[in-house]
Amino acid sequence: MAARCRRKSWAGDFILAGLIALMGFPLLWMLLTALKSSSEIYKLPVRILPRKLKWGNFTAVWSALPFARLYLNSVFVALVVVAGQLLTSSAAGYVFAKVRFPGRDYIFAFYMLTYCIPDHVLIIPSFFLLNKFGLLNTYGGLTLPFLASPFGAFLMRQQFLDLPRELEEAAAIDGCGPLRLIAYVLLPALRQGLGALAVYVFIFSWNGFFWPLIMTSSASMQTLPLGLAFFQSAEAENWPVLMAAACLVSAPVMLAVNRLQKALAEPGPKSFPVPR
Amino acid sequence: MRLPGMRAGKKSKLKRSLSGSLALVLPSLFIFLLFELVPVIYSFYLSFTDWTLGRTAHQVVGLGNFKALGQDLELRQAVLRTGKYSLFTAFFSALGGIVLALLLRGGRRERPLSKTVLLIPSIVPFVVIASLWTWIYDPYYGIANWLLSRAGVAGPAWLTSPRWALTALIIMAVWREMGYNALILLAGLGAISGEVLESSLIDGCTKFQSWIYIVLPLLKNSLFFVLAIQIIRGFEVFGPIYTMTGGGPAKATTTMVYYMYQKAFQSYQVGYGAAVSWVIVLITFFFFFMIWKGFRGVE
Repeated sequence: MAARCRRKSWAGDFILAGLIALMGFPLLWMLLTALKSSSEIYKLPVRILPRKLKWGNFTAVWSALPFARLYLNSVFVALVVVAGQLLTSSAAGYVFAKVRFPGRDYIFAFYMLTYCIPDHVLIIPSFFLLNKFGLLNTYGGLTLPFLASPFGAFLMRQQFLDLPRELEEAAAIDGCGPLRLIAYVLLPALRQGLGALAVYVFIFSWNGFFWPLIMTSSASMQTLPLGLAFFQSAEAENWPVLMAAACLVSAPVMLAVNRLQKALAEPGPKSFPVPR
Repeated sequence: MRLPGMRAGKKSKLKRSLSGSLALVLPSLFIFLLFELVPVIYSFYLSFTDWTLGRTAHQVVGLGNFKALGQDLELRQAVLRTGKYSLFTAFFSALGGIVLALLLRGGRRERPLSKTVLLIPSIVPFVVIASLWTWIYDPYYGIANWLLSRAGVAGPAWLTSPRWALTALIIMAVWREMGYNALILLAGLGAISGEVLESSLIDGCTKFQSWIYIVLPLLKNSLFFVLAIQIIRGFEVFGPIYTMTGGGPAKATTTMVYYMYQKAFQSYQVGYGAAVSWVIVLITFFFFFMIWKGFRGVE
């Protein structure tokens, strides 16, 4: 039995390694192209490895695009959205998990139901609403709609429910009000969950495309994905620089990947999808 | 909790703390009302109007938009096309996900490195994926056609070929979603004990039988989740279409959401676009419902 399993697992290892190499290859191709010169990529037969590593493509990105401005916009929007969602989600999560009032669970269920509303239904009316508020092409327009989400409230409610009751009771005996209870007792105990939410929201914000596309009209307000898309349509031939830009745009989310992997590996109600 | 001496003033304090706590939902409520509920109602209203940008007045036309939608051949084709894209992507990425998850299962192989490689395609911005694959699909210098030529096949023009553009997008999406599916399914597999599997092997099941009759039924929940999420993502596909093909060539890749975008933001038929967006919702829900029914049938 043991020997048979062993033999099988060797074959499995081999297939798995092959599949993972196949999956990883396009990403490697992005990096390899980013390190080639633009004359080298237009040579046949295709050369897999660059003859000479051309790191200059990575510096060329910063002058080919208003890259610094785009990066700044993306980082700023992501930070505001992450901070906002952490605050609103933990506040709402606390209320839906811990505060008793009539109809609470129905209200929560209704809120969750709205999570099922596809985003594209919101795009057209939101555009005209934000136009009325004078928020088109502003940071407000890019961030405000994303400062709270049913997803975040759901996640944090789950986290609060998992906390032991004794924690609050002890705090209540010590005369702690709800705000201080949350800020000093409960939230520190939920660092893990908050971290996971932050990673999710960051990726969601960093990758956002449709909304910024509709919302922004000037290059100075664009975020990175938009800048990249416009660069591609404007300079379709310059693949090495474009791929270098693509690497730089993906870098921050790649750093988050390990944290995400841990969250996805948990079976049961705690595992949740990547919001996009 | 009922300590002596706490009786007095307890009620008013509790009330105060209740209203104080309820105030904590206000920010979420505010965002929800302003950016979810009001837009949804507004969109619903718009779908019954003939509002077109550039014209000053607009009026409610009742079901006019929806009647026109019924006659709209372009929309019908877009629906079929999107359905094809969505179903193929969901099916193949779920299939690939199952294979990967089964292979990944087992302590030694669950190495972070392989999981990281699998997860990256699904979390980097799709714009990155889109430009990368536009380069991969380059008819002359792209690696896809070069590899095909080495195998003796003359590759198609991919994104600029009306026959192949949609297929090219499906292949890309399957690659993008497969690893994500695998990790979700792997978490589902974690709930299946190895003992059940071993005892089935001892009872004389072949490995294949034990997969079909034991692993797959136990995977039901995560498989449902994976299929549902992929179908919905497929129906809502927009970004890759916008950046890679612009809906072309010859409308070969105009999906529903892209059609909505064109109507509302390029031909400025706002009311009509809103109606299209509701049709997309209905179709998405219909498919979601079908999968749900299908899975409930497999008790």
